[in-house]
Amino acid sequence: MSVATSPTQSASDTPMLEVRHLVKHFPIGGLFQPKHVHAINDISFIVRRGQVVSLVGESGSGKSTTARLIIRLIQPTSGEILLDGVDILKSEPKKASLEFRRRVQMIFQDPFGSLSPNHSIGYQLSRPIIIHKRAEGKKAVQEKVYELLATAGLNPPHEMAEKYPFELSGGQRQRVSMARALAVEPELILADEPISMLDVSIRMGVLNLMQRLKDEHNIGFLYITHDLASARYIGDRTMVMYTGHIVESGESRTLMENPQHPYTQLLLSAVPNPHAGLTTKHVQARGEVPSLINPPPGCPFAPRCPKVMDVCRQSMPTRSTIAEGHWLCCHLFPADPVDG
Amino acid sequence: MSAPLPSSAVNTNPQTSPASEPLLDVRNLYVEYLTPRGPVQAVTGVSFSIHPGEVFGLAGESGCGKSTIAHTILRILRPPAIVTGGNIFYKGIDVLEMGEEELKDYRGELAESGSQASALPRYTLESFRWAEVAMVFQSAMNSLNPVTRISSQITDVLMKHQKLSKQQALERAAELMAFVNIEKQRLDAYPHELSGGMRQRAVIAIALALNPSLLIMDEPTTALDVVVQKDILQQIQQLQERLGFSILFITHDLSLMVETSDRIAIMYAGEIVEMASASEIFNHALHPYTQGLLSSFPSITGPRVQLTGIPGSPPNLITPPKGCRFHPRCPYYDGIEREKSPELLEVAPGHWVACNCTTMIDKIPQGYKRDR
Repeated sequence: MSVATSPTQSASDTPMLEVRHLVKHFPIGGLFQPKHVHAINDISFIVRRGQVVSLVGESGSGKSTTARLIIRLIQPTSGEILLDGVDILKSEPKKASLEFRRRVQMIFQDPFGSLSPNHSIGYQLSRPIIIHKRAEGKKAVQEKVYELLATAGLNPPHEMAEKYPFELSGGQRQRVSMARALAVEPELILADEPISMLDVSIRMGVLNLMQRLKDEHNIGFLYITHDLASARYIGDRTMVMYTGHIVESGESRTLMENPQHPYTQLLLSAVPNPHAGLTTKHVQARGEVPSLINPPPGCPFAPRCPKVMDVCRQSMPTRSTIAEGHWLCCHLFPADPVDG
Repeated sequence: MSAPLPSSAVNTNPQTSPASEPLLDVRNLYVEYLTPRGPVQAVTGVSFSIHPGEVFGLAGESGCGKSTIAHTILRILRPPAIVTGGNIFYKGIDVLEMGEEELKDYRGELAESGSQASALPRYTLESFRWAEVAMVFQSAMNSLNPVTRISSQITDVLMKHQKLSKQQALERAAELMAFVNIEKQRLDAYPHELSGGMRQRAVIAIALALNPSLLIMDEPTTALDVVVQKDILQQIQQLQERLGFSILFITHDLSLMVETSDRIAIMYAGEIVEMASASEIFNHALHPYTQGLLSSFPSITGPRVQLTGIPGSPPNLITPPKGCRFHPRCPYYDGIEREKSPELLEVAPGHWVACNCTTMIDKIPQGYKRDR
């Protein structure tokens, strides 16, 4: 399978993040009957500077595992993670370096659990600045903290810095998380469901902040979500994940308007849409996500797929490019020629 | 449904209410949570009614009092929450007046005397809860007992309320599971052996066990994936058409609500700010908050527009803003200080709005775009 050699990409234009054939199997079970949860199965994608790539899928599809692999909280079974063309798994095999941790930051889902309740916001923001030596001296650090708070829309900064997490609302806390990630001037931010625990009316504010940071600081985002509408809203590209496979990927608008993979079609038909009634679009596929423990060969969506064929149960489909930058893995489409 | 209802739960009321009479009528309800920092005015002066066979939606952000109302209807509010005013009439009987303990003796007589029951109070809390109004709780996936089998969790309800034998109860349980498309073999499973969607459906089966007339669903699908969510909502809709119960549907997801409900009430900071039919809310929302909520959901189709959400965050309900509670976040606030919050007024047939800036209403653009 050729990886990320889209025709638009020139050789000199190395993507900021490139993931190649990433695999993660979690061992479970006893000594004599080893079993593996196939959490991530051979995924490849790229994220560029100033680009938001949305990764959508149902719970358990491996979205968060992908983020945890990239930020190196867990070690992949195989595959490559390239940052500006350098395979970080080879250059720093055991532990991520401080420099890597500066370049790649993460925002977690739960704004209530990801901030320490015992320290003021100002203190929590000053820690990464000091550790990563982004400013020297008390005064400079403090100024940097204020600047970060203002960037994240937390005004007035000197008051916010004195506050403790319990004094803030969910949306404000998530803005603090974002400010904390920004403290080290990262190049890539992995945002794992950053708005799913926030109040509806303040979600857009957080998403718009992400958009602004992307534009102003040229940061790349991997936006992980189960909400397709927000994936489309903010994501330049969208990738659809199912049981650890990326089944379809394309420019967000094209993908949502013209989904080709039966799973993407199912997912989109299930999104509440007030324009159409509940009964107008019938969900064809029933059943639930198969077990990821030693899965059978073939397409993982075959048991639920309304268009299933014999070949689907026997072999895993490979990539088929159907338009520029829009590809999917489905036997209904002719596979790309294997090069190399 | 085959299983007979116990006489105490059956509406032995001879003057059966006509269709126009509401099944549930909440009038001017006030609920407060007493905290050391002062009373939290969680629900202030909420009135609405649900008619037989209707799906009524209650929408709003977290902390606006949706769940508090649901808990008040079922009388499962716990201290420090207290009802400080108002009535909840269920088939004309005030739920808030129902006795818990002292009417227990009557229930035995009720069962024996059968037809003369109408002379006695029609409901005690025990015969009201679950038999008349059942509830599917928020994070229902976790509301099953993890250490007992699904079967005993369903039969418990049936044996307690309907005095069925174990065998009868099991048969009925299998029937209920069939309603929600779960094979009866799965009755022997423990909750952890079922997927999230199945657990949710089992919880719905338990809620329907006693043939309730009203089903309260508090964020029934928030923890589920979209595909499963759609599947379950379709099933509920089919069941509702077949069994004819009413639904009080509580969620923060307005697009989901517009899709499923007949009528919708929008709540903000403990008050209903707008109430109308689903299509009216979606197409002709009048209250600035409703418009803001609608513009907080990016669409899956159409052109990509910049959405603003609503600036600011919901108020603290210990010291709520004076006048309209939404005014600190309202783009149309006219700057006049008011003491009382605006009244809920009927501005068009069936369309109620509580807004001071009535002069603004026709000027509010459909897209609710706020320039910054």
